[in-house]
Amino acid sequence: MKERERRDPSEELSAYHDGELRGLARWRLERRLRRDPRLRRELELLARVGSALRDEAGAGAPAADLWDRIAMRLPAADARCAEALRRSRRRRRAWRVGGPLGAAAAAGLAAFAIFAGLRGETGSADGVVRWMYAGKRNVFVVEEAGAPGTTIIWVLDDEAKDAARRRSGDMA
Amino acid sequence: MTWRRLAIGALAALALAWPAAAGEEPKRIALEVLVAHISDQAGGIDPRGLELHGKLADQFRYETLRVLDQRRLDLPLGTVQSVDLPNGRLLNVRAFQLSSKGVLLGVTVTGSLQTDLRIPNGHLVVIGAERFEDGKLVISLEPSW
Repeated sequence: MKERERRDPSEELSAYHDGELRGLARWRLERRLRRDPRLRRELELLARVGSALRDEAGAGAPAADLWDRIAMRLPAADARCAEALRRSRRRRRAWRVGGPLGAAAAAGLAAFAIFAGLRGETGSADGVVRWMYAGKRNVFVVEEAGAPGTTIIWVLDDEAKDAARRRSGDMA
Repeated sequence: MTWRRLAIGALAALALAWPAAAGEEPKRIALEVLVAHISDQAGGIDPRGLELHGKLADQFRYETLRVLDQRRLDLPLGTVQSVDLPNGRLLNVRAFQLSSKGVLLGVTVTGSLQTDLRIPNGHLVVIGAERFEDGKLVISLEPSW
């Protein structure tokens, strides 16, 4: 059976959307897209994934300073991430960290990514997180962390960043 | 004449059965949603949150994990369902598409996080998104179909 016959149409469309369809299969799908308005609508829907939900959910994440003043003692790993992010912001790009993330987290770390108020994907085609937006807040994502079949998305509190800043200030 | 009727009957039966066979892909998913509160105050681990604790304990330090809400959502593709969070915000989820890679799920925690996830069947996603009382709200999502 040929590849094109094996693939489910929506799966093929999804692969095309994710940029995973190559060569002849891509050319065939693009030809079908030109001819089939229903397929084009489906692709459009994929491209706009999330936007409809976001519209319905209502916009307007409050500014960071509106958050409650409850302080939670975050783990050391959290603070280290925040510090890494603070540095990364100066470079105006996201970091991808493969190094140690605290003793416990390092043990089973398969993929670790930090987002600093970014619109974008994780960069991993097979990752669970396809797109994420958290306003000005920093987020880190740990996939398959220690426990297989688990993805953790953690929005860092501002206190963690402040603590990291204070720490780096003390050290300077 | 009898054979013709039989043939027509067989064709009709095939025609009726075809959509069921062709529509094997489920059009809805079940989504287990658990909302918990973790904090540094002493209090222990809620037995209902033991599985979540097992996933988080190696990553974060806390003394208490308390389950605040636990429900199973029946989520047809394309529909939005919302869960009220204890801090007054909303968790919105929408399943867009099912493929062999998983379900494409849009998730919003109002005022905090918006994300699109491609979650394999039975995969657990844990979101630590909201401060609450003296700790943090943790939301776990586990789709199945």
